[in-house]
Amino acid sequence: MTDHRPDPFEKLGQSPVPPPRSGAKAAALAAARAAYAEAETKKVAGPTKGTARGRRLMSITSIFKGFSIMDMRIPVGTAAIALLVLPLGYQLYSSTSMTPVMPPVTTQVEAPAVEAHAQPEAVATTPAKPVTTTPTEEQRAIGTVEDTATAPVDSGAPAAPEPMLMESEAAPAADMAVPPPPPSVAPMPSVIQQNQSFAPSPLGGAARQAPSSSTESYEMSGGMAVEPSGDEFSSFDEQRLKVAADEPVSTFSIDVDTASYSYARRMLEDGYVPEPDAVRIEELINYFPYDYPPAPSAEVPFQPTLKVFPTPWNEKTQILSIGIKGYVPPAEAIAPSNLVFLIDTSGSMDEPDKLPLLKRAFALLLDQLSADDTVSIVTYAGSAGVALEPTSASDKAKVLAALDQLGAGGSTSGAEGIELAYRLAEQGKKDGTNRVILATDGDFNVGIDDPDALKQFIAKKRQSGISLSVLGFGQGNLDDATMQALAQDGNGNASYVSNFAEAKKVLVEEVGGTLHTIAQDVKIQVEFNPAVVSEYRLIGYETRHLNREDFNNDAVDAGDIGAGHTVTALYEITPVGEGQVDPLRYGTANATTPATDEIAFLKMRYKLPGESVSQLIEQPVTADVTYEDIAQAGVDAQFATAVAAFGQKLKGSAYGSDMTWDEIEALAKAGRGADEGGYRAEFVRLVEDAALLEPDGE
Amino acid sequence: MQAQLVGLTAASIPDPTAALTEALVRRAQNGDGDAFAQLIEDQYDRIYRTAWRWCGNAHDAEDIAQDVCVRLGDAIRGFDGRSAFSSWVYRITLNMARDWQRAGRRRGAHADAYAEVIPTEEAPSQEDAATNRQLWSAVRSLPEKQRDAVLLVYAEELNHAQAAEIMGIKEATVSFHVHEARKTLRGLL
Repeated sequence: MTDHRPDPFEKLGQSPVPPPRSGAKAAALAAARAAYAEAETKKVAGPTKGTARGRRLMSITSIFKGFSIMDMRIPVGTAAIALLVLPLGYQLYSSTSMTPVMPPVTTQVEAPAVEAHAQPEAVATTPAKPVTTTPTEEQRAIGTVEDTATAPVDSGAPAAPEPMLMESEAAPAADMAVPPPPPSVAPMPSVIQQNQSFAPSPLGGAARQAPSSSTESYEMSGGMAVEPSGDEFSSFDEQRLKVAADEPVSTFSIDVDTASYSYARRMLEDGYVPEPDAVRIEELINYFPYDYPPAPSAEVPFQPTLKVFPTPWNEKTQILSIGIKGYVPPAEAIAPSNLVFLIDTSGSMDEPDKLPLLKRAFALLLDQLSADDTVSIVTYAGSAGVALEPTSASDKAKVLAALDQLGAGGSTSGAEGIELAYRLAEQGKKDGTNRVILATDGDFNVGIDDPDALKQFIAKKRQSGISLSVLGFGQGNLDDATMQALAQDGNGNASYVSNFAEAKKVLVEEVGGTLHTIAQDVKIQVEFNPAVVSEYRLIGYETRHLNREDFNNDAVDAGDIGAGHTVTALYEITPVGEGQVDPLRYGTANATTPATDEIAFLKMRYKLPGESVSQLIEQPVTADVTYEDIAQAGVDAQFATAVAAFGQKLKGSAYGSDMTWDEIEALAKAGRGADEGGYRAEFVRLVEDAALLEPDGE
Repeated sequence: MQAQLVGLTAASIPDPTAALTEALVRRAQNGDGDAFAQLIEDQYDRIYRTAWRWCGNAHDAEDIAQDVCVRLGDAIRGFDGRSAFSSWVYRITLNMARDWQRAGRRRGAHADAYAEVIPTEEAPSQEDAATNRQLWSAVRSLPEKQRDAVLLVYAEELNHAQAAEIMGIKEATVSFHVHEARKTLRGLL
């Protein structure tokens, strides 16, 4: 019977499966819905676990839950302890950084419901407690629940989490879980009362934000939210509104990174909303090329383009847009490059969107290099060592052959990669660009274990003229925070390469910006005129904040700008008289207001490559650059604003979330312009994805 | 067939079906009962089919599928998006089928399965049907890992990477299990 078929297993796929009976299917669906509804009830009643938003709160609620179980067993003592612990817990809770930044809202309405349900329980449980009640109530209570009052642990168990509920959760829980009333939940009334007075409304808001459940539990640790993806991001607070009269000066470093946009795009395309901390608005905005006027010469490598136009999400405010475009040197003036690729070959790189993508991307880059440029390859993790000695980029065959031999696999041992890479970079050091390009999916086991030592090492090498860029690949292991930090210390940029088109953008179209630095340590300082501007807010750049005094201190490191890079910064400014913040009653009189109608004064500092003394560019922001309508301000202004609005909405920002996805999409479409690379059209698609995943009005 | 649901690739154009599923999952996680009902409705046939392939018995498959649906209703809020939703459902289905079989329910009822296969087939020759029956029976009798690998790859027609994600093992290990399965069955087929 066994004739020689090539593969008997092939037949498995061809065997038909009898269709399910419709009755069975209907029964299964009904059962599933019932389970879902039950889980919903449990979710409301119990601590929440699971999805991205508001996760960090959950450790708190589960700690509370722990107390509540103890309550059940030793009701009297714990009632007293609860009185002490709850206020203390709330005090601790509210005085740490874990308190969500959320407007104090809602849940007031629900409070009476809790009281209503809590009251009968108070009556029922009084016999066991030294709580003062009238004898008649006691009599009645004993009459109804005397048998159950003696078995607190068993009978009370289902309702165990209830005493510690925050008020927004407690109301529905009381509705649904009460029918078999937990007879002897001793401390419940007092605890719930406590909660009503102590549970802060932010908790209510946050509980709303954590819509998830129970069956699979992930332990949360302190401040770090667990990402659905396994990727890591450092958290940061959003830029807040500042009063121009109090803090007229805003200082930050430019940022040419784009990793956040690529990452957010990938998450959205895979059907997930990225973590709020993964969305850095300035990186979203700066991902796109803008058509700012080019700079005149290499000596003045950029000049600012200033515009002021109405804010689409707030009719009272305006946007101040500061755009710069890096000088693009003519081809013959480009200094030769000495590039050392430090490539992660750990097992996790063995996925189609990692090492194979890197190889193809690398081949693209090679076409952009000239015979004066040298390339070398060092691998770490898995197979460690020099894969290619410094070789002229014109010797393509040799470079590509070395590249082909790279294979991912093995453990992540034997790594002295980074020192080796820098040694090669010094060997082939040129009077031009010397750069180590680290390509990884998040494994930074490059030979220096201590992150701080690694940063110091990179910063030291930066001073000797070798910079570091980081290309991030893949998903699930990406360590965004480290990537950013290393690139910042190495005066390079961090890019996230999610697909071939992205590789093309980073390594071909923007190769100048990626490889040829035209200005270093670029800092921007804006001084607002309190006579014209009452409040202002910088959109994004949270991680690039500088102190006011850092601006003139040439020792303070800041971002670099490459050939042809465009950088855009947006301020939302509120004209005098429209401010949200009330003026001080006893505030200082405007003593030194200059008699000018300038909106603000812009100062930028930069160093030419290799120089240590900074140059200054100054320009006032006057009423001349004000546009009545955003449409007149040009496509770039419209598009950048749409991206900012998108970022704010995606983050769930306190600002500008009122704009609907449709409005954002319309604005982005209006700002599409020529869109040569098709990036803006892609952005419009992304807005649609986001609208699908997080519909307006929920 | 399920390839579009697996989020491993770097494809930049979102597939509408996948996007719809993800949107439904998300809404269900946020407490939208209708979205959940719709989602289960969409998934049921695939779950049932998988369950049938694993246990070879329509009654058991229905029971397993129902258990999986209940479990989904219970657990969907815990689905964290680390893997594709379809992979997650597979994983639950496979675990459920395994638990079911370990519990030993309806043991000896396997004969039913083959009674049900034959009428639906296009009058296969007696010998073909016998071979087929023997093949399925042999595959189902394999050690669990080998059986899962073989069925995922050949019956569900997934690629090794997808099977690896579902089984929570490395791609190379899937290939190894399939290879082992061949060795185990060499004498039988």
